[in-house]
Amino acid sequence: MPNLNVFADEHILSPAEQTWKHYSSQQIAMAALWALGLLFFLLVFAPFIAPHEPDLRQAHLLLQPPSWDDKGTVDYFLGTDDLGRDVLSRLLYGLQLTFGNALLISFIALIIGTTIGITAAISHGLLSSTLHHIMDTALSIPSLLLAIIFISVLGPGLDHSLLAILLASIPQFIRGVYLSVYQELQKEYIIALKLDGANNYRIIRYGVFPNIIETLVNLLTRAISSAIIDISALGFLGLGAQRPLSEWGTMLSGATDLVFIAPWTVVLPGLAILVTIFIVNIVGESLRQSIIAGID
Amino acid sequence: MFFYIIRRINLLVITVTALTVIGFFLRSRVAGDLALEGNLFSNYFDYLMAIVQGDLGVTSGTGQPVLDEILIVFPATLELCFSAFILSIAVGVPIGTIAGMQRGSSLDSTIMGISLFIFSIPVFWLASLVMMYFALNWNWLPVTGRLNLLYEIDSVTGFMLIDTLISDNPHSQDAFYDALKHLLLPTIVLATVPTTEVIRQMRNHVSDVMKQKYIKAAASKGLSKTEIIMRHVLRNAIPNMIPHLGLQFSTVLTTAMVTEAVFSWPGIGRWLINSIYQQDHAAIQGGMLTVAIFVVTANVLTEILTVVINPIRRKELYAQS
Amino acid sequence: MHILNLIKTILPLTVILLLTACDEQTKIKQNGLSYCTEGSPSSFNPQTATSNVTLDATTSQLYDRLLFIDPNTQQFKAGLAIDWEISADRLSYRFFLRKDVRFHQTDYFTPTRTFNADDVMFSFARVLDKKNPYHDVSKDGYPFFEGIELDQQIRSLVKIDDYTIEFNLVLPDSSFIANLASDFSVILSAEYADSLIALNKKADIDNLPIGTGPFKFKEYRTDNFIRYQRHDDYWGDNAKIEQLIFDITPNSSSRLAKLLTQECDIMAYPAASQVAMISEHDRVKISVETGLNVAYWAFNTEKAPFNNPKIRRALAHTINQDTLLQAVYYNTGVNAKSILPPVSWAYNPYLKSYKYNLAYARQLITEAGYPNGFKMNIMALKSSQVYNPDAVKMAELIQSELAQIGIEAKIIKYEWQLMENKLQQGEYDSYLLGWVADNNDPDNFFRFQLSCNAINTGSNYTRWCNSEFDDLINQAVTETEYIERVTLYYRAQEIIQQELPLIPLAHSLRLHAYSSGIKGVETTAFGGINFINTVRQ
Repeated sequence: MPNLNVFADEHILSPAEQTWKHYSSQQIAMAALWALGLLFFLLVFAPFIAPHEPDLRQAHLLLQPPSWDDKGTVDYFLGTDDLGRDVLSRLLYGLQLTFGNALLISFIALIIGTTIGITAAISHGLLSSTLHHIMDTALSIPSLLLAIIFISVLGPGLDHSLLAILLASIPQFIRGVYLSVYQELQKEYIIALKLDGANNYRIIRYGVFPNIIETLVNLLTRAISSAIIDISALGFLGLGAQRPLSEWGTMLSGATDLVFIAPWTVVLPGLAILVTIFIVNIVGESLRQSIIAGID
Repeated sequence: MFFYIIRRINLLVITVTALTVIGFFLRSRVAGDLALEGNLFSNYFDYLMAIVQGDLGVTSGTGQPVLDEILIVFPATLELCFSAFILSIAVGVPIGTIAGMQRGSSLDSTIMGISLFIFSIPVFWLASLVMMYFALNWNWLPVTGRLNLLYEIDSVTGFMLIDTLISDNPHSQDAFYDALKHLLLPTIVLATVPTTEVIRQMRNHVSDVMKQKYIKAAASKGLSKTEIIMRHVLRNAIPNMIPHLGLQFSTVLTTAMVTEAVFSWPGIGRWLINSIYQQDHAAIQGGMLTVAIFVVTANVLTEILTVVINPIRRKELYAQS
Repeated sequence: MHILNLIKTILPLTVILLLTACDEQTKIKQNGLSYCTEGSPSSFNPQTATSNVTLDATTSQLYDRLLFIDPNTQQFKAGLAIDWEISADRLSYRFFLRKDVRFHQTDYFTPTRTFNADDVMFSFARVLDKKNPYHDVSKDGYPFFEGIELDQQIRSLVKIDDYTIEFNLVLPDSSFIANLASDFSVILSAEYADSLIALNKKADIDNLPIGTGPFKFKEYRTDNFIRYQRHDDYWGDNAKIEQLIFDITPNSSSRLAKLLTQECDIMAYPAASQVAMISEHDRVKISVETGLNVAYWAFNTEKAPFNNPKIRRALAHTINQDTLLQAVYYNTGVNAKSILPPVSWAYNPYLKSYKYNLAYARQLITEAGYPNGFKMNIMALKSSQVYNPDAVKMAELIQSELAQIGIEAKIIKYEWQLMENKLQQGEYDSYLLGWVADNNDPDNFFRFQLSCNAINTGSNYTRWCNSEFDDLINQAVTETEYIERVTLYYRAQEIIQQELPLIPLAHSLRLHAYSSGIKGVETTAFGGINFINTVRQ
């Protein structure tokens, strides 16, 4: 069908389009987004990309330097560790353990936290006030410390550390969502919606939700980056993932004795953590600014 | 105001109760320490009474009272935290102010970019690298420990800088400088992440203040830039920083606990993690209670402090209640 | 406020202070020595010790023994006993004690008399006599003495006069005198023990030690440091240094950092991986000695399938010692064919080692009735030991070999205390452990770990009992002829080789790293480090 609209009608951008327009105009933000995409790709396809099994120990290939070193080979692009395992493959599988788990935890925390936060905000009285108190308490303790407390009860281990970090990050969401929903509900257009006879669901879905997306994105990216730090810190301390898992923090703690003779075994896992968190933070920060720009 | 303080103290009580329940659970795993016969509540009550009297049990390793050991290791951690905290404010506030004054400028984006990068560095990794680099290349600076142990300094306050000064050891002055040197590297490493947080918060508050009409008024009065910063910007931005600083301090404390092992700093982090490895439940319980209660108390105090010194916040509260 | 100005003033000031403070430090450093060790002692009384860390930290510093083994000549030398006589039937040993030996004077105890026979009587009564008020003070018992069954060897201990004592044995035992010279057989103060009873503080005897050694106890901060001070009234030549610090730093990279920045003068057990790097550094040097030790992989021989020697032999064929030496020891160890190290005089050089051959191992396992392999666990210590720098890594290497022949191995990591509990309870398939000789007598390697009786006393964790082997080692200690003893020990090693309750993996070299100005640190092949002659130049 031909386009019958012959008049030069100015197309009004939706908030989402506004946001995207703002976001895509920033080069660094776009680069970070591409990098994030690459991380997701590697995350999903790590088993296919990794040139070797992460746990394959090759006694004749101990501490091979990375390929750019004179003694390195391309077969072991980032070298091997003290048990003859391919560092590149371990890092790729470690992406699943560290970054993958951080994403998983953060999304679960997002769902649970948002549900509770919204429920608390629309209800009044005892429930709201109890939640408020508990959240205040939980929030005043940093998540890593809270995780260490949980682990001191549960005992060390990857699953325990993930559970601990999840429990420690939910309150952040509840509190953030609660506050912003609560503020939205005070606004006049919500009262207008109420007068129109909208039920709770409609108020939340059409009135509140579009306006708290900025909060959610902010909370989510912060949660992901702090989950990466927490998972790897617990791994580093020997409280989280245990050897021989190739979680990045665990890889680091196993390699500290090697820093003089095989610096790549220490530098690379740390660099992996640093780069991943940096990418997440750039995307999060830029997205947040763009959403604000989109709403304005 | 009164209600506000009551509410905060209420929060403190709830937290401490929750923590002691966990502590009670841990402690009851220590065979023979707490009899599990009889009523659970009366057992818990006995446990609370014991804690109030400073009895946190004895460690399974050495049989020393847990409290005695904590009184030695916890000040070591706090000393490190205070110095890192002060450094992060000393560096973060001026840089944050500069960025906030020129929000949107290329200087601002550079500062924010760099601090976002530093914020992403895993501290335990940085600590390992710094330690190795300094040990190999600059070996005039100690990288581990709190003091050259050849100096015999009695632990009075637990804070090495104070203890070395009040010690009657003939070398106490040397010991003080030695302690200062030991503090230097861990402090810098530990201060990296909180500094970026201080920069971020300070920048936001300063740029908020800069939008206010009284700044324009001051500028039109012909005040110099320095005068505006000192008399208006900082005076209005810094009180807003205080609640963040409270939370910041807890973050520094946690980070310190993680890096202690790398710097062989004889603090509570290393001690607590050792206890977890050795499944020393009495020690875990004591260490956990101490750190957590300290953090919560510090937060409640900063919040109360905020309200006391910041009239604007106080007004909001009156409006609420 | 002019914050920037404030910073401008403070910063240079601090830097100046730091720089001027640099040379001041040398004064206190001249008279003190700091030794970076890897772990905390479990007690300050070696009689109760099970770990080398405890022995290193206590025996040679705080105490003396009746006699000791000269590290250079391997001969017995006079300690608190100036001389000794052995009767013709080799059943009684008479010791003549040194006079004018003073015990430590400290904040918590002031001795009123010098050392005499009562102190020797007390020190052994505490260990041997269950009725002695101090016998039960040690919650861990006296593992070394229980392992060698000293109470059954000694018929009586008699005080002849104030400076003469006599041990009467049940049977002649050629390892007896070596046991008295071991790091465990120290002499405590009977007077101190009496005074603690009066104060009702008996437990202090192992925590606030009093001995006659070259250093006295000053301060201990758990998991942090031990401070010793010179004992100025030492009976021999006084130590050259006034203060001795044991800086407890479990992490080996932190220990190395401390050595490089001169926080430590001597470093225990540099990680094997760091050795090459340290030897390149000009301000530190490294010392290497062959050690009387062995690392092994041992089995619970009471449990199927490990009760079948064929399975154990099959597992021996999965071991690639060269890889282990390279990956775990970084070539700071040597191949092990026997539980005895090659430097021991009873070492059997004719033993054949099990060749690394996975196909053959698989065949043996199939023949033993496990064509599909099986599951097993391997317990390994987390911390590095004299005989094994990294047991967990070793377990991981063994695990990947086992995986190739269908055996699924699970690695369980423990700290020593927890592992010892598990070993006592018998809940395990196999474990990686080792042995460091307490003296130069080969009996020390065999009796404690593999005799039938040691199953009951709780030190033979393999739970392997072989009557022929037991007869051989019992005969060997009553034998006096050197050739006869060697023959018996050769045969005993063959039996172990055949039955394989444990698979010897490697003998570790003993490493210490020093600041280059340090001279005169004495180490012995069987653990122990002595600082009495140490000087700084």
